[in-house]
Amino acid sequence: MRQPFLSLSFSTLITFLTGTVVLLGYFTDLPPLDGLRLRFLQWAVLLSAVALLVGVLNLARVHWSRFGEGISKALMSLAFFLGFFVALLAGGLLGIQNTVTRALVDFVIVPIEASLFVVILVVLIYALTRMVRKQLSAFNFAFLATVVLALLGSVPLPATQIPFFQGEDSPISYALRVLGTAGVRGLLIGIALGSAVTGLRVLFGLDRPSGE
Amino acid sequence: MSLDFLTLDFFGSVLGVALTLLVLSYLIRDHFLLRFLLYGYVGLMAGFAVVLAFNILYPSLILPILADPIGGITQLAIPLALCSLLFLKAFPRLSPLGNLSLAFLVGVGLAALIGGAIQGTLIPQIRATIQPFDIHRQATATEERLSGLVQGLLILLGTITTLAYFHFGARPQVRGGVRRAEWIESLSRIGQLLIAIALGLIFAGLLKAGFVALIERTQALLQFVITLQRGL
Amino acid sequence: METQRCPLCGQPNPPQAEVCQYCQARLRPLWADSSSAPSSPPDNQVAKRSLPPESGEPLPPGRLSGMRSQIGTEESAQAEHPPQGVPPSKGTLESEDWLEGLFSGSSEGQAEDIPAWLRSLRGDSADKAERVEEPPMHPLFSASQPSVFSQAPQSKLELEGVSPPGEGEIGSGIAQEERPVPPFEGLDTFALEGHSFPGEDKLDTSTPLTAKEASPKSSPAAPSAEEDWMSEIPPWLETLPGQEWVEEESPEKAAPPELLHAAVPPFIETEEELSEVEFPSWLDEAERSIEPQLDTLIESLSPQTTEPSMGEKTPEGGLPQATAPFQEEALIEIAGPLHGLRGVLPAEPLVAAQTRPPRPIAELLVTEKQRAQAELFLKLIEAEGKPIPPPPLKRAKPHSFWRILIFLVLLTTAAVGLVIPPFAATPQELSVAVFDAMQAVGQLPGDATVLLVVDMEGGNFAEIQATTNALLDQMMIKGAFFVLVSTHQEGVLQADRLLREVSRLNGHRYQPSSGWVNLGYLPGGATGIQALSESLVELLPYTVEGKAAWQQDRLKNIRSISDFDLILVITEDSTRARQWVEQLNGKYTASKLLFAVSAQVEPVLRPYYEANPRQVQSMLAGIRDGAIYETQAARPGWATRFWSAYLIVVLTGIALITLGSLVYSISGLGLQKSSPREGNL
Repeated sequence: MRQPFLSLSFSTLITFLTGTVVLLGYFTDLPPLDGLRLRFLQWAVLLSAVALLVGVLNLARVHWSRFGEGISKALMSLAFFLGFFVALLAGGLLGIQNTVTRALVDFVIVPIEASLFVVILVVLIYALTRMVRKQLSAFNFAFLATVVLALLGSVPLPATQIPFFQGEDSPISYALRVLGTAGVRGLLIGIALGSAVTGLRVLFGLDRPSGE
Repeated sequence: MSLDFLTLDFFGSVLGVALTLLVLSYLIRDHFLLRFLLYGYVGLMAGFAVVLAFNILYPSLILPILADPIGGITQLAIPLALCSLLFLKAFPRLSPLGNLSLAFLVGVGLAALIGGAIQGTLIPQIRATIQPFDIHRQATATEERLSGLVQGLLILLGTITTLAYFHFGARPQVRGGVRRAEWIESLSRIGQLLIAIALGLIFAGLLKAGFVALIERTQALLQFVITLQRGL
Repeated sequence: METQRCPLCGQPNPPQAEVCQYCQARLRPLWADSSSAPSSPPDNQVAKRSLPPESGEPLPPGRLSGMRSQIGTEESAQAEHPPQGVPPSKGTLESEDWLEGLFSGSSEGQAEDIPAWLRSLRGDSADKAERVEEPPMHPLFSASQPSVFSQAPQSKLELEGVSPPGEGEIGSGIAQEERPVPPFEGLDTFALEGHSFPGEDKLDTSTPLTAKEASPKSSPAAPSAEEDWMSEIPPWLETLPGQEWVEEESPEKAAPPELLHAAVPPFIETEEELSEVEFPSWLDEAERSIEPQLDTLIESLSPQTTEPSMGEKTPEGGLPQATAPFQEEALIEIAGPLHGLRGVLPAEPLVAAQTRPPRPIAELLVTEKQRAQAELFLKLIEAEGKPIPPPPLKRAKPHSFWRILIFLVLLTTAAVGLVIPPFAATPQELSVAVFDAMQAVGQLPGDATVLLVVDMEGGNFAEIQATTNALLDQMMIKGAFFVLVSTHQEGVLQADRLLREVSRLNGHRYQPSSGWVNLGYLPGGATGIQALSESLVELLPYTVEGKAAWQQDRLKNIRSISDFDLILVITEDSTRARQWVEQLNGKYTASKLLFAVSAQVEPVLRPYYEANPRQVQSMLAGIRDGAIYETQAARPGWATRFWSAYLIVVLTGIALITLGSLVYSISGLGLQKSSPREGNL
């Protein structure tokens, strides 16, 4: 029988111990600790690969169960397994650098993904224009103006020169670059702080991201 | 197995154009063929993921055991056990047994994330923010120093105001509700504008990438039409 | 729900119960017929008593109603300020009626059955001596009796022209024809007045005012010498249940004799009126004759008995318990297992019985506002139980038309830009980032080894190819050997494709194995990058083709990432770019770290690039930097080819965004006018 409390405590202890070893090895130069940290990192990479396999296996199981849920769903799952086995055959048997695999990438994967990106582009432009319809706030206005100015500053206009816009050192470009750097730097510091604090909380068992 | 390159290229172009049009038809409406295509695409990527994961696990876990079973198992006992337990996550009844491996993975991953965030972003970026105000900083000219000081001041203020926007400490008000301190509220308004500018720049970059993708797809379509015209 | 309390154990019982559910004591008298009112719950009686008499209500039973009818308009006119706080209690009325029945009965020519003690009530002064030894009188009388000897009630007694029992008897002895009011009528009024003392508004709700409770058992008044005249109850009276006397009285009996009606004095309410009253001579004589007896009686009584102050009375009208032993001698149990016995000790202490709250009064305090609030509360409770249907989902309208329009415009302009000859020159301005990249590539030694990280998807392939074409071309020219790795599954596939395309487009003969090795996928995100940065060879010993990667001639000297001459990270994901910068920080010389990224990553990567010291040596972002690099390197490639189309598409995009925003701003203003809402601007 599963004992959630013991399981939870043991899991938290494992997380704390491994995290502490890796953190101490990262910030110190103690050889035994550093060696253990490297070993833990390698094992974690292997575990990540297994986690990927587990995820794919779960996806395949879900699609397998959909075969009995009607023709439409069965056809979709059939498409999934079709692509799945084609990739296994091409990548596994023929190899990643085989001609067939390359053709699969060139003529199937890239067209699909590029076309999806085009769809996203159109939707984004449409959404950007509609953004001001809902609410014309200072944030929206600054966002919209930045997008337009950044696009305008990235391309030199043929046979004309817009003052303050063109060129990397133009006032508009400079202002956008400096202000953008300031904003992103604040975001990066905030992300780093948040990552560190949240990570430490999880390591010490104060937060449980797995929800157990 | 060898295929004629020109034949493969032609049929590949036809397939690519067909798939492009099929995906672009989503702008009109969603339909069965598009969903079928996207399910197949997901399956394709899942299959490649299995192949790539196997390429990692095979030489690290399986090959040593095949080469030297006893020595390999002895050497790889712990990672093998961890991977086996994690693999049990795929089976709902045995899933709790995988918590040990998951805890190990979370611990190592978080430690790597924390170390990188502190040493790779937090310290260097804070240092970069205060660096322009270092009076001992050597500068070639006063003008450049002044320019750097102004830029550093702008970036410092922008960084502080952006961080102030993420300060969510608030106090209850007499009239009800909670509100941040007034000076933090003022700073956060400026920070909000700077965040809008930063996100606007990222969004503009996304549009630029999309424009290039559109051009590439348009060129593929034109190339196919030209090929057809030449062939006809 | 109404209940009746057991007289024995005091527990509540259903109103229909014959016997107590707890002690099996009988709750109703055995002889009570259907016409006799059962002992109704005391609370109910109190509730009835608490209600002020209104015009629509039935008149009080017994003689009081008759008295009211006789007095008529004169009474109502003078009683403009009746003692509203103390309406006549039913128990009081019942007691009066019980006694009144005696008088009314005597007035109907039943003189032959009237005993001697009763005749004395009519004024037979020959029985004066016996009157002193009478048993305690009816509780109401006894309740009022102590007040006779106190100050205020006595004056009231005198005001109303009635005499205490002793005086009445004296008066009746003087002249029957002149006697205006029967003595008990005066006592009746007096009893009512006695209940109107302050603090007595809350009537004794605990004491059931049944016939039993109206008996001297519950009478709190101390017995006096004047009450002894009733101590000898005749046998015929003993056989009668007290309650039935009240209930069986006919309205005719309740009315006082006619000869007394004319003598009823007007109501006197003030002391001035009192001083103007001329008392009859018989009253003065009676007063003089009774004074010695009163003095004697007062002296014989204890202070507690003679001064039944208000404080001694409980709010419910309870009286000092010192009177109980005297009264219990005359008790006759009419219910329960002790039915018929005399002088039974009360099963329930009066104190315990007096602690019940006056519930009916609380009920009467409900105001209209409270009633409305209660109704509203009930409605809310009812509404909570009813399921509220969710509002119909407002599905977003498909915007296919506008999306198709935008797509067609962009597609057309892109096609035009690709078809027409290049009309715009690539940017000639050398940016700092491009310069740094060119410098880093230019410093590469011959036969350099480059770690090429390719983290991208197929959707960004065109942009990445346009960005990195010149850079990779320059490296190929230098004869660099590439080691490919990717933290994105698809990046493994795209890395091969990218090198093939660049090689083909620029006329190189780069092939796998001879030109590059693909180490494949590196899982784990930040963990994988950190592991790679410290144990490259141990972590990825084989290529995706299954060959030993580090056994090749070009890679024999590579043991860690610091052995690479250059690291080029190609990505379109800002998170991955940040992770590579973070994890390679301190592990690799920043001057050898280059980034070729999508334009969307450039704002995120710029703080690292502009840091001091730099965390990133160079950063090529988007097709613009690629075009600049190609121009500077004089190696036109994808960026140059696409530049005209890119320019016109970007301008078209700007026009679409501006135009659409203007249109929607105007329509949005219209919307905001029609439905004003809070906005920041």
